[in-house]
Amino acid sequence: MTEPGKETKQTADFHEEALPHMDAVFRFALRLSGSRDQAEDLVQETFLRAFKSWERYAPGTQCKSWLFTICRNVFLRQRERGQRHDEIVAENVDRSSGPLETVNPVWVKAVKADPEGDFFDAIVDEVVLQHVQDLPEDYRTAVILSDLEGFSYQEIAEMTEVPVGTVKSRLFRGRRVLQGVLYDYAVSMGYIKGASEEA
Amino acid sequence: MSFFNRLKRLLGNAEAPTPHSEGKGEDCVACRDLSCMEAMAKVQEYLDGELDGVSHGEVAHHFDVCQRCYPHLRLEERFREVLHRSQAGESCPEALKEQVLRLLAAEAGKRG
Repeated sequence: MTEPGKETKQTADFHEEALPHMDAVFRFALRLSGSRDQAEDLVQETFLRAFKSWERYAPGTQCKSWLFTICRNVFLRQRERGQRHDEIVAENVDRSSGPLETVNPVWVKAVKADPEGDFFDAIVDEVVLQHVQDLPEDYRTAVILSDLEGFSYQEIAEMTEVPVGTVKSRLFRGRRVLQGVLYDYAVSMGYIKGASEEA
Repeated sequence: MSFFNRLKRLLGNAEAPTPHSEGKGEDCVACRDLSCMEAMAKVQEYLDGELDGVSHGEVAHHFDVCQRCYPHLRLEERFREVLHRSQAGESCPEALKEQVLRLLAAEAGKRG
């Protein structure tokens, strides 16, 4: 049995350091899973596991990134249990491993019709988030952690246990995929003239 | 946004030139220190605040004065703005917060 005073202190510390991140963990879980029900399960499981492991948390370190790491690990384990391998890899996104073109071909098209990117204003949030959700998990995680939550390359590398170079590759490729589908969506909705209409 | 870029915005981008595809454009004032390709290769790290091997000022200067590259930077910025906007205000439901607190209290009770 844990010493009563120590237990109270641990609970108080957890409430003070971990619970303020519940909104951020919920958003992360929602973006990872794409389902409110699953996100709610992930949040509960994340905080319960974190509370049970609180003795292993080093005070003063990045509590938010520690919670995100737990949340992602829980999500990946749940996904492995819930899907067959062939379903996991059947993601219809170009994942070619060649070098990215230095000049973004999407922007080359967009800059002719709308150099200020005003077409972005017409795209509703739900559409943006749906396309984030459609990214492969490794790209999606990098984009969420960097662009939505503001973590550094090094922090993302530690959270996802890959080298910084891999984080950059996933992040840059994920952004390119997302930019391409948002541009195509804007063209299909008439928010911006497509390259063929320009000619 | 710099005065120069505000002016460019007002004047429009009728030509919509693309960045110099290789080397440094001989007649391009922006390319004297950093070529268009070097600037474009660094645009992600520049906006992420994670530049390595080149200073923030050098890249900023290129985008400030290069009419070819600036629209590409602007589109990258707009893309990030729309991502941020898409999840603004989204927070954890109160009922879920209360459920988490109940779970933690039950766990603490088991230990006690």
